Amino acid sequence: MAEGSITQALEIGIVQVESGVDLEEALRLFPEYAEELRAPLEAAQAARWLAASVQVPQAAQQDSRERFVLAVGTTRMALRSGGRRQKTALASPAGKHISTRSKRRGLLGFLVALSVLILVLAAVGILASEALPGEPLYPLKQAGESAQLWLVQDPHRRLELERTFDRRRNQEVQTLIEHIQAGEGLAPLPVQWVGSLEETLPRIWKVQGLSVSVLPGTQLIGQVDPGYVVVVDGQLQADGTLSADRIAVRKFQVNGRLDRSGPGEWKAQGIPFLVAENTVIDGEASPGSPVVLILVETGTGEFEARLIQVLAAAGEN
Amino acid sequence: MAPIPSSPALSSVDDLLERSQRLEVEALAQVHDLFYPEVYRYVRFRLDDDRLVEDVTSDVFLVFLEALTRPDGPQGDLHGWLLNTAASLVNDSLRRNSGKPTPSAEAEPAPPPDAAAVVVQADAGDPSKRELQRAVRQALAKLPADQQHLLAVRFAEGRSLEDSAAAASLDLETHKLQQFRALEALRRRLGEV
Repeated sequence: MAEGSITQALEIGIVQVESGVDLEEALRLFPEYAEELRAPLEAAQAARWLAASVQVPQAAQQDSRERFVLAVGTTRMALRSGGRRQKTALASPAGKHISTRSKRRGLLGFLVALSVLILVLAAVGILASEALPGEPLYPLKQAGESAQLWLVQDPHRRLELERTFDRRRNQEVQTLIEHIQAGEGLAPLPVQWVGSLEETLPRIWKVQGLSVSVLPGTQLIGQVDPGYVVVVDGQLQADGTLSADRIAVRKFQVNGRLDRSGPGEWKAQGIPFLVAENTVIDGEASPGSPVVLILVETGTGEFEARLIQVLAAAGEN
Repeated sequence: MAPIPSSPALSSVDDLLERSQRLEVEALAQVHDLFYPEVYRYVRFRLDDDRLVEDVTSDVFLVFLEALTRPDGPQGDLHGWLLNTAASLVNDSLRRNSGKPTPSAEAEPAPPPDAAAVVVQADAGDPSKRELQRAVRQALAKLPADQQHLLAVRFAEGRSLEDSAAAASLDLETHKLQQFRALEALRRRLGEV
């Protein structure tokens, strides 16, 4: 009996059992090895059963995420201040064994960072919500929006929050243009405008109704085509026109599982999207596959996938 | 006045790692969102205590953050790095807990004499499912660490044999043989539980 043959037979048996074939039926595929294969196939069945019974608790994932994001903040602040980075206290016995010496310092730093973050968020909420580009509190408003994005885990809510912030950028620009038209003198201000690319004439593009000056130095990032939503980073001039420093196709990342897939019917985490000819699919995509999606938005509000990266086989839970 | 930061560069896993190495908060949060379920499934496959599983899973990402500030931090295969870190923390936990009785061992009824045979017929409605899960994990914990890791990557992570061989930097035939031996060993242990 060739060793390679029985190991290959075992692998085929495992695949059969994982796809729902009865153990006895899988053994009948290799009658000459049935006796030797029974034990490892039963173990494979037990392992598969154990794996399939695992449910990832959302509350634990959310707690872990918040703890992690706060630790990131602590680390960044410590490095920025040039001080020694405080090690964050690890929770598990193994983790404590790894970092026992810095446990107390890490906990103190964690609590300080938590307090500072709460104070910053409170200040942003109260004082900076109406700030416009160019005003002193505007960076705090941006920090508050970033913090909101950090803490949102649900892909659907995150996507909607990003779109809300896009609309907020446009409202800010419109308000500034109204101030200019009312006679207020404003120095060129860095702003952002998000919308559907409607027209691309030489030197002047139209984005969501706004004329944007596109100069030789303007950077174009990604496949910037009419009919797709783009992000314009540029300078709002004193005369109310917007000159673009950079125009990028608006992308959204969705992490999750494919709800279903098929000709013209794609969804992930409840978010429908189209697959185009230039969509890159990395891996074998099937319902249940954990994926990373990079989506662009069309002018009609639909999402189109630029990248579908399959992380693992389907059937996980 | 500083320019408004442009939209985050949304990208693949390799780009996420690169941005994480710069300690970009968005990227690090995305790493956590992306890999938490898989790390959790790996740790849960091998450890029985609910609270310990959550702690170890969370600690994997804190160790990741710490490693990013060192020159020898994660490069290339982020998924593999996280699983290897999870394996290390799980192995440490098992070593520390070896020989200690499980918290509820005296209160729970003893598992059936041959856990493998019962598991084959077990379904979601079986009230002793928790005991069976514990029995399978106990059997798994008696295997050498490398066999536990191989089975966890293969079954908890759902990797194909080819992918798990590549992750372990082994040729396919060697990996098949290791899988055969690991499963044979697990079956023997299941019969002892």
